[in-house]
Order: sequence, then structure tokens, then C-alpha cells
Amino acid sequence: MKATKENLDLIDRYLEQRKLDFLDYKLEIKDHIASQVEDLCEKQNINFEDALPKVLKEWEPSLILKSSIWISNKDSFPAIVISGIKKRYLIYNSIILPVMIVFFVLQFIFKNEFENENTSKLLFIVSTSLSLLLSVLRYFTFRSNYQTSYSYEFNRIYKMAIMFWCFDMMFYYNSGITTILFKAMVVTYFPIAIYSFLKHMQFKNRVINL
Amino acid sequence: MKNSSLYKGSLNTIIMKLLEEKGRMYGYEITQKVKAITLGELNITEGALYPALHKLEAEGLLEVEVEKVDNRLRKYYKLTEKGNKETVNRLAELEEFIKNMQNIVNPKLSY
Repeated sequence: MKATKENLDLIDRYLEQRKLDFLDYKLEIKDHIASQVEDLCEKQNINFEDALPKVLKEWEPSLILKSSIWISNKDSFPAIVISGIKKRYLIYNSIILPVMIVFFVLQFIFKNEFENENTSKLLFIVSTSLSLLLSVLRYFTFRSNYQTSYSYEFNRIYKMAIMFWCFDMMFYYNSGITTILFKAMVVTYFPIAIYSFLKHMQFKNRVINL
Repeated sequence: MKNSSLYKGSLNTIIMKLLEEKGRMYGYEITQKVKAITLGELNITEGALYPALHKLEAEGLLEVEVEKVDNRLRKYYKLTEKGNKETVNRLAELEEFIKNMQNIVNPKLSY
């Protein structure tokens, strides 16, 4: 027995109640639950409405709302989403941390070069241009009707990059000293933000065309 | 499943091996295939499967295709070129691991 549109709407509503808003997760979990219910209907010769609660009970531990300091200090997400995003963050952190350490060390090794006015100006132009570009991309994700785990990631990284850019500005105007570290943070976060943005757009375009 | 922690470290390799054989698969299909192959001995939970699939995708080892099937959208996973190469490496590592475990658990068989 194949799930009808009404059956699928029922799953949709359940997932929305569980705050599963990211489209990339939602559509595959909905398909998984529907396939599981269809199989159970066939095996036990029961109807969709009777099989659905049994399947949803199995899903409860994966859809329980949780929060993680690594992802957000105010938002909570289903456990399955938290676990997936955390695994991706581990990959990102394995890239970000070594790059930041390298920048930090370079700041001391090439202290004179970084204090040079022309180098400072160049770094300022680079970090400001990247921040502006991220702001433009942020506008596109903001306008998008679809939210994916990638767009969430992008928005989070965008906020971090802008925060470091503002710290850099404040530091410069208050002390007249330009720091490489804050600029380095913007530069390091940039490729990850671009990756998240592209993955979001790629997924959105795939789904829109269906 | 008798002891899930023994299988935990091999989950990614299991997924990659299945995708290498089948070409592309969706989440529920993977869980059912593993269940069938192991005669119900290994039951991959969705809570472990999807984070693992998303991590492999982020590492560039898997790519995604979305298709409309039975009134709903279905996300298929398949190995990338990098994923195909990595599967060979990981399977070799797993075989080596099994061989070493065999030697430890049952030394007589290794002679």
C-alpha cells in the first residue's frame, strides 16, 4: 500500500511539530517514515493510520529536541539534526583551527610587514570585500523560501565573519592598531561560508525543479 | 543487534561498500539492505545513518540526487570519484582489521 498525499501530509505535520524545518533533512526523513510505514502495512496487513504511530514511536529518540553550544546557544533542533550538523562542524573546525594558528604565528614572525601601512590597507580591503560579498549572499538566503541545514550554517558563519570584521574596526578606531587575527578570521570563515551557500543553492535548485 | 559498538566504527565503510555495489541508494533502502544481508543481526538506526551520510557528503565522498517517487521527494546518495577511491582504501583497512582481530581472537586459524 502506497502512502497517499493525505498520509504524507500527516507525516509533514508531525515533523513540523518536531521543529524539523530544514528541507534537506525533512524530505528524506519524511520519505524514510513513509517507506517504513508502507512496509509495516504490508507485513502486518494493517492500514496506514494504524501503522504510523508504531513507526513514529521508533523515531522519537531521533526527533527529541536538543540544543548544542557548538551549533547555537538559543535554538534547539531534533537530535538527528544536531548530530549531523555537529559532524560537519568537526570537519570545518579541522580546517579553521590550523589556519588560524598559522595566521597567529605569522603575525609574530612578520610583525614588521603587517605593521606596514600598505599591507594593513590591503588586508583591510580584502576582509571588507569578503564581508560585503557574504552580505550579498546573505540577502539571497534571506529571500529564499526554503531553509536547509546549509543555509542555517551559512547564516551562522556569516554572523561570525561580520562580528570579527566589526571587532577589527572597533579595535582599529580605538587604538589605531590593526590586527591580523580578526582579518584572518574573516578570510578563514569565507570559503566555508561559500561552501554552505553553494550547497544550499544546489539543493534548493534540485528540489524546485521537481 | 548483539553489540552495536563493535559495528560503530565501520558504519561509513558499510555505507560506502553498499553504494559501490548498488550505484545509488536512499536512506531506508540502506537500512533494509544491511538488515537483509546480516539476517537482522545489524540494525542501523536512522539516528546513526543520516548524520553519517551527511558527514560523508561534506567530505566530498558522496553526492546527492533528488527524485520524485510515489508522491514524495526521495534523496539518493551515490559515491563521487573521490568516494570510489576512498572505498577501496577503507575496505582494505577493514579487511586488515578483521584479519588482525581473527589472529587475536583465534590464533590457531592464523597458522
